[in-house]
Amino acid sequence: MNGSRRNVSLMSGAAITAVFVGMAALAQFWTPFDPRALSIIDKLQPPGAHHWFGTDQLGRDVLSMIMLGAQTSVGVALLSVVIGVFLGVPVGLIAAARRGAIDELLMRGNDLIFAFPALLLAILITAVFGPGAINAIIAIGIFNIPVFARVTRAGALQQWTRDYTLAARVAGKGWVRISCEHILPNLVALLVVQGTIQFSLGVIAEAGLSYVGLSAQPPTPSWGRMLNEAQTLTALAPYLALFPGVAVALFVLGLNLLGEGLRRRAGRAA
Amino acid sequence: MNDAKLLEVIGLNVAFGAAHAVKNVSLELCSGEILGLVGASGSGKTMTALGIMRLLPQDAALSGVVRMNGEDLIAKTEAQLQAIRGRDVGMVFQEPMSALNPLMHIGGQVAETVRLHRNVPRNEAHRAARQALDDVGLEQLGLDRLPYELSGGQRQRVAIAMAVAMSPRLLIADEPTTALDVITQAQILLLLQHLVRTRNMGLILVTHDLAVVAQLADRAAVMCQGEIVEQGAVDDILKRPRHAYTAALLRAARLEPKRAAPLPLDAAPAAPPSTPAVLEVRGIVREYPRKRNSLWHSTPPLVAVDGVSLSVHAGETVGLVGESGSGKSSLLRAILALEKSQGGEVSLLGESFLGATGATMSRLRRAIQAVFQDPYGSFDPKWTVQRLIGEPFFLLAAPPTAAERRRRVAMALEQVGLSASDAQRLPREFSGGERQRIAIARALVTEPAVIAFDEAVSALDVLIREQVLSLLAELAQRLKLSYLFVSHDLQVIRAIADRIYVMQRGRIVEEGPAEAVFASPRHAYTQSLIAATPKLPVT
Repeated sequence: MNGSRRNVSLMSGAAITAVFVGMAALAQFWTPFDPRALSIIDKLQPPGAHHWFGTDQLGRDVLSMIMLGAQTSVGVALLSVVIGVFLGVPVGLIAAARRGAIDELLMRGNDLIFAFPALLLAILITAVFGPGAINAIIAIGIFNIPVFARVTRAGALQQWTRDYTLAARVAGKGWVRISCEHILPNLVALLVVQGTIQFSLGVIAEAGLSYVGLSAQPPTPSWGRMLNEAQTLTALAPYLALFPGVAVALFVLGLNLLGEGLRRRAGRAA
Repeated sequence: MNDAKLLEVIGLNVAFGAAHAVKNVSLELCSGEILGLVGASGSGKTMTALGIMRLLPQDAALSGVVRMNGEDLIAKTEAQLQAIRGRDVGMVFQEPMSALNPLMHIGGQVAETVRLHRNVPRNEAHRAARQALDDVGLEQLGLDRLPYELSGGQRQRVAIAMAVAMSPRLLIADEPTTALDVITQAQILLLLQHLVRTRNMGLILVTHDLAVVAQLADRAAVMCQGEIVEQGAVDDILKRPRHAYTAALLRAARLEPKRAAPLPLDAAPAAPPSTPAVLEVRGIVREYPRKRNSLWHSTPPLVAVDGVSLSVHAGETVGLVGESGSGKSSLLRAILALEKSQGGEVSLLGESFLGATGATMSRLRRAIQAVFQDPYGSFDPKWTVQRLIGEPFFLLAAPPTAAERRRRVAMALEQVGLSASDAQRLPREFSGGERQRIAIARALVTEPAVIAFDEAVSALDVLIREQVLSLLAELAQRLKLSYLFVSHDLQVIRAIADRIYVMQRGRIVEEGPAEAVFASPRHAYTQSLIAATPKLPVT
């Protein structure tokens, strides 16, 4: 590996991700217009100097909606990754440390969750508990658990073959302590990469769920619902579908580039 | 031997940026001659071998003249070189497992070499492959076997068959026996010698082991920091080394016994030393469950350690020697209570160790510490040396204060010849030998009675090995330590141990005072081990 070569995917991925996350943060304090304010006079204005991204059929500013939509997107995806990490990583660590029957039990439980298609599982949960951002987070989060459990287990199994775990056991440490002090810190790079990938999948899943109306409810803007609403107006106002569509695609691209860049950097360090 | 010059290397240089790996190396080789290229790791010997084959990494800058049969290899294009590699020059590498394609049967791999260079039909190539495998002594092995089904020695024979299938005029072997145990090593060396003599090939044998060179080579070139410091007939170099580095290598390779006072040879065999036993192992059994082949009958477990008893007395160094796969490491892990044993008893300082729990276990663990083989894998790469060495403090009932920890870590570092300021650095900043010193410091920090070593010097090159062994001998004497030293290397065991146990297939087959066992081995296995170990001529 050539250490001096610029990591283009890391740079560009980080830049794109920073733009979207920054946009979501900014939307907390300021948007060009109030995205919830209806103004029938201004409806369906094409993109221009006043409304950069135009307005929708109810006269809401599309740019402001995209900015607040980013907040929904980032929030749901991030929290579902957090759920996956907090529940999945311990499962993986325990499975790798204990092996045997416990490993089998945990991993087959994982397979059970994996057996359901992610979106179907999300629809099931939101159908039972009702639509809303919180339930979307839980639904996507549950799907993240087995992913993190598997990645953690695979990485931890490899760490357990290293002699330093033997040395730690000679120092009298038990598996819980070794898992926390030695194994986990050595898996951070791996988990950050996986977290970025799950983040991007979460963005897609959130867009999908809100498209079918199972994520954040109106008036909270979300990209998926904007796409859904734009559908009937495609001939009249194609830009209504264009901006949220591009937002999803670009954000996911950015996250994937970031994940790839991080993976490459971790590979070089190892 | 004839005088036709097969290979001529003049002023070969290999550089990576500003770092010169090989400096102005000149060599000559005739047909039917074996040249030993010797040096410590990092001396540039592998880079020289790769440079001759033009197989260097992309970012290496190569200059000089490499002439084979009068043709300059440096001037050739990659396509021309591909025709030469394999046909005129064969190469054998150190690690026989990674040199073979794990998914391709061995006949196919040898036949591939043939088909690359000769336009022959598949069955013709397979006939040639069969012939090549027969030539390296694998007559009983079918062409359809896969690499994982073979032993290390068999794999290395397949690799050699691939290298010699086209009857090359030059063979380059880079540490071909370093990954093998002594008995297999002796067989492979004999095979290489036989091939060179019968086919009138030239062989460049790259190795760190002077004894291997002494046994096999006609001439030797000694490399140090990228330069050849001495070159000539093997006998001359071994008997009258002219360069100080060669002399140092020779001394390290001879590995004089490290113990303070040699035990008298006429001591009664296996007489237990007069001091009390600190570690007493009785009838340890270690079984590994095997995959069941039938739904109805369970497969009997693999017995790695079959009822082994041994003892280590106060102030004594006990060596445990055996081939890889003889169960040494399994035994050691069972003794250290790192793996559950299926029978037997270990008592440490007179107390039962294996069944101990809680505070008793911590107290006893403190008395037995360990140093493992891999100087790269035995440290958490994210921890500083201070934290790594301090890890066994966890065993103390009352953990010392931060200042006290620092003081004791500094003391341990100084005891192993490192400086106290090294405590803040990360393990990757240290060389292999230094890391093994850190591992020893970690073992010393709880002031144990016994330290167990699992192949602790096997990954080090000769010069470093000699330093680490001297350090261990000195520490044992100064701190009144007992060692249980496990190795496959008889020379190392002979140098460090007072008393030895020889292990074969999970059992102890011979035990006794080190010198007595080496002077007159009684068991056939010990005799064959000693016979297979390459020897340097006595001066």
